[in-house]
Order: sequence, then C-alpha cells, then structure tokens
Amino acid sequence: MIRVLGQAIAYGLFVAVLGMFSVWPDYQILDKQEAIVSLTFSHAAQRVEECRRLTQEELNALPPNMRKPDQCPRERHQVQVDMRFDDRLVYSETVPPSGLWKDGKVNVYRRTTIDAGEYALFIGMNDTGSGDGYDHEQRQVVTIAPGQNLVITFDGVQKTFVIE
Amino acid sequence: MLTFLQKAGRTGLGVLERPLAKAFGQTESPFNHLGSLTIFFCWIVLISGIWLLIFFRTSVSGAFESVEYLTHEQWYLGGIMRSLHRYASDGAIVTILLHVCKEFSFDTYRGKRWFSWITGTPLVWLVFALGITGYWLVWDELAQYVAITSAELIDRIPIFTDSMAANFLTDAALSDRFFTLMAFLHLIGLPIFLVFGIWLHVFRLSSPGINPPRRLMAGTLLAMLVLSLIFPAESQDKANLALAPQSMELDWFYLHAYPLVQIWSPGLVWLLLVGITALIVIAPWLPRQKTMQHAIVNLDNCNGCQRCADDCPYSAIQMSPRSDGLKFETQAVVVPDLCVSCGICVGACPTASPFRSRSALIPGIDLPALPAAALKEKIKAATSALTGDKRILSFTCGGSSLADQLRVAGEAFVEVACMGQIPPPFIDYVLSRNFADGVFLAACGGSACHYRLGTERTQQRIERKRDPRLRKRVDDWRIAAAWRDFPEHTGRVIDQINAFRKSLPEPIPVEQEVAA
Repeated sequence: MIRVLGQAIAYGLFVAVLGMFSVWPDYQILDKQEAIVSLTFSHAAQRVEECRRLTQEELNALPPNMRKPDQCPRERHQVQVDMRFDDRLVYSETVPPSGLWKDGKVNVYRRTTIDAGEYALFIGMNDTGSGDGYDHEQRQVVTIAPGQNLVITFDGVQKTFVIE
Repeated sequence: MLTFLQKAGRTGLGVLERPLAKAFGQTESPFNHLGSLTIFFCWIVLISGIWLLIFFRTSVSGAFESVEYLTHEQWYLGGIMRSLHRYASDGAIVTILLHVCKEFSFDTYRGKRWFSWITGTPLVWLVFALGITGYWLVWDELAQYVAITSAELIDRIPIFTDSMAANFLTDAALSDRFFTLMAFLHLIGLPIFLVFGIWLHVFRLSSPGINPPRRLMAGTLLAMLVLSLIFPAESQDKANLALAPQSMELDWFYLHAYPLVQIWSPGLVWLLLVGITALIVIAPWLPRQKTMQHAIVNLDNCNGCQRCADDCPYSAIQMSPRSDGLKFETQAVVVPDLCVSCGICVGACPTASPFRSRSALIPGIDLPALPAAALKEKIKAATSALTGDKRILSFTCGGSSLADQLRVAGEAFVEVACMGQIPPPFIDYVLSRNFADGVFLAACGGSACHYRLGTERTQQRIERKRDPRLRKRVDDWRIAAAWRDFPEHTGRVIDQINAFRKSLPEPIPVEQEVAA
C-alpha cells in the first residue's frame, strides 16, 4: 500500500512538473506601452562601376564567343540605412552586398522595440556609394499603438519605403 | 574536475533515485528506464499525433481553427490527444535530460561506450526541432513568437541570403505552402531521422531496453491522461502578425533558449548551443577513460558454443569459422573496440569451472584483469578467515560503493568486474566445497547495472533459465541477490546481508558434497 502511495506521489509530481513548466511562468516579451518596429527589405544597390560599351579594338581582342558589347562589373555598393524617430537615431547600419563577388542583394531585417506614441519617422537609404545624403528617403508621422508591429519595407520598383 | 562533477551529479540524482527505487523497486524504477521511457513518450506522441493529423489543416487560416476544433469541440478525444501530444513531448525532454545526466554522472559515456553518447547528441537536437515545429503548426500567438524567433535564429546562419524572418511580418507575406513545409518537417522529415537516430543510438547494444516495464508504461500513461483531463493543453490567441504579443505562456521545456535571442542576440545563442553541443560531443575524451584489457579467447578451451556472444551486452564477441583445425565449426572472436571488459562472457563460458582438476583453470574466454583462476584463489582467500555457523561470502561489482560498504563492515567478499562475470559453477564451488554457508550477490539490478545486463544474466543463470545454469544440487535458499531479494531496500548493503544471514536455517543442513 505504501509502495502504491509512493508511486502515485511520484507520478503526480512528474505530471505536475510537466503541467506547470509547459505554461508557467509567463514570459514578458514587451512592456505594456511598448511596440515593435520591423525594418526589412532586400535591395540591390547600384553597381560600383557603370556598364561600359567596349571599343571595337577591345572586342576584337576577345575570343569570338565572348564578344559581348557591354561590360558590366558585378560588384555593387554597400547600402547605408538610417532610421530616426523624432530625431532619435534608432537604427543605422551600412550593410555590404551578399555574395562572394559582392554582387548580390543587401538583405536587412531588424526588429526594434519602441514606446508606443506619435513620432516623426524618418528613414533614409544611400545605395550609390555617394558620401553625402540619401538616395531614397521618407518622412512620415506615425502613430504606434501598444503591441503594434510597425513594418517598414522598401519597394524596389517604386524606389520608396512602405510603412504599414 | 570531472570526478567532482560526476560525484555532484550522483549526489543530485540520488535525491531522485532513492525514493523512486523505494516506491517502484530498483528494477522498475523510472530512474533505471529513462531511455526506454523516452521512446515510450515518442510512441504516445506518434499515436496522438496521427489523430491530430486527421483533423489538422495545413493552411494559414485552417491551422488554428482545426486545432481549436480538436481542443474544444472534440475535447473528449481530440483535446485529450492534443494534451497527451504536448505532455508526452515535454516528458521526453525531462527523461532525456535525466538520461544524459545519469550517463555522465555514472561514467557510462566514455571508453568503448562513446558511440551511444555521440549518436545521442543529434537525437536531442531532433527532439527539440520536432517540438518547435509542432508549436509552429498551431499558429497561435506562441506559434507567431516561435516562428519569428526561429526565423531570426536561422537567418543568423551565414549560408542563407534572403531573410526568413521577413516572411512573418505581415499576414500577406505568409503562404499556405509554408505550413505544408512545416507539416512535412514535423510529420515526416524529422520523425524519419529520429527513428533512424534511435536505431543508431542503440546499434552497438545487445538486447537494448526499448520498452519500459508494462506497469511503468501504464502508470505513466494514466498519469498523463489525468493531467490531460484536469489541465488540457490549449492554444493562445490566434496569431496576428500586425501585432506583437506582449506576454505569453511559454513551454519552458522546449523554448527555454528563445528569450535569450531577444536578451542577447541570435549569434550568441548559436554560440551557446553549438558550444554546449561541442562540449558534449568531445566529453568522452575529456579525459579518455582508462579501460581494462579486453577479454581474450583461449582457443584450446573454446568449443564455439556461442554463449559468450549471446550474453555480451555490447555485441563485442563474434563467431567466426574455426582457425585452429579443431573439429568445432566456430570460435569466439573478441572485437577489442567494442569490449568493455565486463567479463559477462566469462560468466557465460561453460568451461569456466573451478572444479576442473585435470587441467589448469583456463576457460575458453577470460578477462585478463581477473582471470577465472585468480577468481578461484580470491574466493579461497576471502573465505579462509570465515568462522561461525552462518558464513556468507559476498560477490560485488568492482568500483562500486557496495565494495566500500562491505570492506568497512568486515564482510568476506570478492570483487569482480561485473556480477555477470561469475560463472554459476563458482557459486556451486563455494557452497559445495563448504567455503561458505551462503552466497550474497551485491549489485544493482535492472537498468542500474553499470555494464548493462550483468545482473539480468546472473539472475537467469542462478534461476536455471539461461545457460550455463546453476546445478540443481545447489539449494536456492543459500543464494541471495540484492536486486532480486531486496528490491525495495535502498539502505546499506550490510543490512541486506544480515537479513539474508538471519534467513538461513539453523543449523545449516549438511551439504551434498563436502570438501573433497
């Protein structure tokens, strides 16, 4: 009888541990007044060197099967991205292009926690390697609710940021 | 450092081991069936999972609704199946963790036993991957959190270019096809690898313990059923990618590392996980275990009976065609890389008889660290000083704490590598030649046996159920085995010996064969 009782206690404790730690304690991801800003895009920056048309002499120097009139070096620029909320720099990074030959897209995915409220949002991107200013930028007043996931992407066709 | 960690582990696990042995008996204690319990949990997960699959819809909109239907509309079956699915998965994590701690603490992961340790490591990863993809499929807020955090972890692996996490930012970006992929991974892909992995994990073991004792299975299942009824597993709110969940109920068994992704970074979490895994993988060689010389075959006395090969717990003995011209068909061959020097093969050898008088005691297979001839001399030496009416000779396993207890108590005992090393004729020899009035076998039973199967083989031999059988002339009451006759006793071994001594009749009947 004592053995049975001991076994019942052992089984009870085991399943109690399972039941408890499968849901408890709660994990607090965000404070009640916080929200998430997700910045994500995949964008190919401008080429480091522009495409150039080969001269006839240069073409003649090439084997017949490789006589392509345009020469386009593969390497692309880095992309610099800055994001400000009310002039507070929330995110700033210079991201190199992907690929062994640095000819791929720049992939950005960043999640940032921010307090809920109204902000003057600025986001700018430089993808041409020019030292000054931004090639694409957007300013917008956004109201972020607690627990909201504000997603900012870049439309490569329209060349503009999309905030949703 | 290693000794300290192992001692600390044994002390910590002892808190669990002793009460469990008391409640369940040593042979049926869950503590001694952690690996097979894990497999039993996998069975529960499989069967309950098949039921869930019948009703599950692999689409963004259908996943959550179908699980809700199972949980609430069909609570009496689908809901219970879902709860069993979750709790058995969680139970597997608990038993895996204890299994790893036990093997480490009792030093059964090094030396020739490295293979099971190494092949067990990817199994842990697979079980976690199965659990995580399972939570993903429910597509509630927890699934949303799991999906995004998992994707952030995967994005950190440098071989991927496009961000996977970007797929979980808006509902529009999410496709049904992704759920199909997840369902494939969870239902087919990962389980196939898991089954193969379990097979590989026990590949080098002879008679691996795949199923726990039936009563243990029944009790565990019943307890989980009760838990499922009292505290059924439920979904959280439906996933909404426009919102970021602020707090949630996390399954800490599977997702304990996930908060670290936010607190640290995905890269640091990978460093931690890969670091721990690497440490576990190289652990068998930190430092390398000093092993005794493996068993050797003496062909002159080997008749190719195959009993040693049948009894070896590690399949370290193979039978090959005869090479010495004798008329027997086969001979035993020891595979040194697999032999753990337990001596169970010696206990199985019919030529290991101390009654031999015409030739030297050299059995067909022997253990160089303690040859059969030396064992015979040890018996004589240990019993030479025995006096009184109820003289008991104990056999115990080398390196165990039992030997220390016997030494302190001043008991006559002989230390062998493993209980299974004692050939039954040696017990007959002790009693029939009047070296002692009783033989006590002091060892841990069932899955607690350090070398696996040692006590099981011994018990079968002395109960005359396995060759070589103990001769019928030996009275059963003269032999006691700690694990068999005192299964609930978790105290000192000396108390068991005294209880055995007390059980011997007074006066001891005259033996059939007195010392010649």
